[in-house]
Amino acid sequence: MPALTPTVAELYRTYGASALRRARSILGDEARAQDVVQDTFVSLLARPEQFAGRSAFSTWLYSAVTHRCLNTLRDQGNRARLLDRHADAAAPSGGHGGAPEELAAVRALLVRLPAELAQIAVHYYIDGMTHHEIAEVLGCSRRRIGTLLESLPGHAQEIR
Amino acid sequence: MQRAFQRPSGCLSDLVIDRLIVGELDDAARVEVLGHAAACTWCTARIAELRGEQQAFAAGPVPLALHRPKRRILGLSAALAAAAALALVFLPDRSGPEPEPAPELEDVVRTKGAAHVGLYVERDGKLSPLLSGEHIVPGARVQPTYTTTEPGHLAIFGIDGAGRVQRHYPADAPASAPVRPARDEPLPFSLAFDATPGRERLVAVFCEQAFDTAALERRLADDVAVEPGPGCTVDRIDLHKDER
Ligand SMILES: [Zn+2]
Repeated sequence: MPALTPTVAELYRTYGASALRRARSILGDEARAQDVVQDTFVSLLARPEQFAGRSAFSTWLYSAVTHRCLNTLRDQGNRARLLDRHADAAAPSGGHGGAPEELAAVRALLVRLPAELAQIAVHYYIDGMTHHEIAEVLGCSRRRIGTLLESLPGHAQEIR
Repeated sequence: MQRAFQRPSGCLSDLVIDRLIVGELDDAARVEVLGHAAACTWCTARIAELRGEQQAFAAGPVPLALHRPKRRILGLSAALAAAAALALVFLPDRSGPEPEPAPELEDVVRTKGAAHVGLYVERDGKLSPLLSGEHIVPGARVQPTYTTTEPGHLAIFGIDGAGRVQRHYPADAPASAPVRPARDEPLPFSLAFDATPGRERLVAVFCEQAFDTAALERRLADDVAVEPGPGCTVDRIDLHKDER
């Protein structure tokens, strides 16, 4: 993936669908997901050096979109609103994943986790990525991902 | 907390499938991924689904804000290149040896949910966003766009420094124009500002129902504040025309 050879518009066409899918699954809101995706690409236009070419573009984009989605969840007053609504549901549960209420609970938990852990939680719980893949996206060791994921239930309990 | 998206154990993640679709995987990874998919109906279906999504998206419109010619930054340090890029985006009509500090893009690109109008100024074949409060040079050509998540009706007025009101859109109909949900959809006109320095205001009114633009124009001319009625929002953009 050459850094500046394609235009940002071309990158948007090629990679926009996967970025939008991710943003949708994290935010659960179509309009805000579109905003995040557009903002991510617009920021690339202004600061192309963000993508340093150290990883594949898809990998970089997964991380960049996740980061923006988490900021969006934290900002815009969603934090308080989600917390009020879902604080009780945010603790670990034993059911099978995928239900909307459960995703809402995951989002409620995400906004309260430390940034790195929140990003890992998104990749693991929402994306269903392996430890190895998360390590690649975040540029850290697989072992660190494992350790941080193990600490999640403790964080969830504390937050509760 | 459970994994929200459950795929069969050992199956391909969306990241791997995305990378397969856009051709990012090297030969070895590709052979491995396709080998798995050949024996797995779940992954075969998921690959088809994501490929369909990608193709549909690629065939769709690209937001106007991303339509800028490819910029090559050669022979500049990274910091200088970044400054040059910011200057191109944010200082559409000013030039000088020292670019002024520019706001972070995140702060100025509108992301609010309400219907709104965007302005883009064209210079040297490039489009840059023009934001409320910015300065423009007389004669600049500005392309308006609109963004709305709901269908509705739109009218856009201009008010010059002397308080004269002009109906920009729709130009010659007494009623507002219907608009579909869209993001940064270019409107079928552009604005060319005359050479008189001073303030130039744009007032865009979005309503759920069609409305009488002539009545609204009279109220603007009488300097009556336009308050959004039920089901309406008003977007105001102030520009400052500088002397050339
Ligand atoms: Zn499979």
